[in-house]
Amino acid sequence: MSDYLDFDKLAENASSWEWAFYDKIRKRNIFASFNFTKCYQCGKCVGICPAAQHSNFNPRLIIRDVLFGELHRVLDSEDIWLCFDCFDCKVRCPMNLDIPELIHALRVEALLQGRYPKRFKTFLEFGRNMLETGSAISLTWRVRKVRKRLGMTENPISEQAVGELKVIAEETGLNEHLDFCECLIEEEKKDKRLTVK
Amino acid sequence: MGDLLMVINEERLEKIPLEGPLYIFKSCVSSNVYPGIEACTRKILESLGISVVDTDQQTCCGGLTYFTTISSEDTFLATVARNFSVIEEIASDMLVICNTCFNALHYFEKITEDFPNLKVKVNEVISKIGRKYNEGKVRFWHIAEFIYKAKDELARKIKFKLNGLKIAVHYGCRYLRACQEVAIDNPESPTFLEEVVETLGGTPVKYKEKDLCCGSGKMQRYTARDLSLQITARKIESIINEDADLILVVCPSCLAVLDNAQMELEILERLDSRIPVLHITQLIALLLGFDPNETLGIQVHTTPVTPFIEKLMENATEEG
Repeated sequence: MSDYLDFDKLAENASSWEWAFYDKIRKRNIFASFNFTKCYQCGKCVGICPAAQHSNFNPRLIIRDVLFGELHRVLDSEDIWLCFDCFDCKVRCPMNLDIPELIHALRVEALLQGRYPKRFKTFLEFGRNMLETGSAISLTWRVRKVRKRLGMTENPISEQAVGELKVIAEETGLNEHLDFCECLIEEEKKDKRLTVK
Repeated sequence: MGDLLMVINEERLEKIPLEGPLYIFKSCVSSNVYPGIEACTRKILESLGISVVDTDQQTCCGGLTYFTTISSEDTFLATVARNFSVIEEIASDMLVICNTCFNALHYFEKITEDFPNLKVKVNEVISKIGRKYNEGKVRFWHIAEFIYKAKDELARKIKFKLNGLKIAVHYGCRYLRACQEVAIDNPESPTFLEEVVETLGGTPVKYKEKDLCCGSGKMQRYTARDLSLQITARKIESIINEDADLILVVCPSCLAVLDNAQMELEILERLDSRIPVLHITQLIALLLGFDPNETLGIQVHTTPVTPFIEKLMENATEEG
């Protein structure tokens, strides 16, 4: 199947563009100024993308697939997890489209549908650390000693601050989300689990 | 294309404060992995005679967990708002020593500006802990742009001159490109850090992969290690080809990746030599005469920094 844009087919199918998915992720992800209908598939994003140079990741195709509702290709593949979020594409896009934002929205959607990347457990630890210590990366014994030698406090975050963060987590559903992510990993849904080749 | 300025943003440059009191926004990597970055920032401000205020109430910026899809927008916004409300009690300007933090803070401001109802929503959450976010009470500045503004004064105060040592500058992605609306230089062909290097007496090195990401991404070092290493290898090879003496970064994630990956790449026979990596605050603290182990924290670096320090000291004694 050719990946090149078939303009005749595009014109033919324009009325059947799949808006449901596009609208759904636009509404969930309130941050992005979702204006991807402006993309005219020039491919400048792919040209500069570092991930595209070493893998099959292709931002141009991802935008096209999202608009055409070809969800399986977008959400099921490992590709959306390969984006480096380096923003090279956004800077060079003639329409200044926020492609990294789209990738983030797709990742959130994929996660909620049970797909997660390799070593996802590490990020889960960031979340747990944030709740327990107030920082996503916890202080090791060694770094505490180094901090002391450098003339700083061993632990820069107070118990009170950690307590306040716990209240925020409670109010905004962080605990539930972390539990959900942990369930995903433990259940090991092999048919949906991604492994990076 | 957006309004890309091809020159330094003078308007922003003027606003950067060179007087205290300033608050240093602590970060996971800059405080808990490479603590030298935080320590050097403190020493730099001390050398410039700028007073620093501190608090132990500031937590993680909330950016890392949000960007890796672990926390939701609501958690992210509330965490940032809480930090703002903590800091506004003690300072009106803060220096940000980490690019993820800077990205998180900028993102928060951008979104609450576009969607003002979020400010109300976020205050509802943090009112449960007796806090309130007031817009516009704290301004934040990236440490790199602060150093750019103070470069002439720093050049006067340094004890060791770079004396033409070749420095390869890595700009990174998160400050200039992700936050291009507020960054001080343009994202396509930045030059401000090379100006800093020249002012301090060094020679900025032109290398082919100047614009390339370090390989860290938001998570790729974990989720797609091979891919990440390929990018890092390209970056470092391109710099070693130009015989640079040091890689200079402004982001702690870039520091972590470029520092740690070299040993791995040597084992994979992708590199046959290593090159020291330093954060800009560490370099300046070194030039100001602070000790590598007591202030720079080079003991946590994987790639040895001493070859660069020896070259610096050699040059210094030659000039007399």
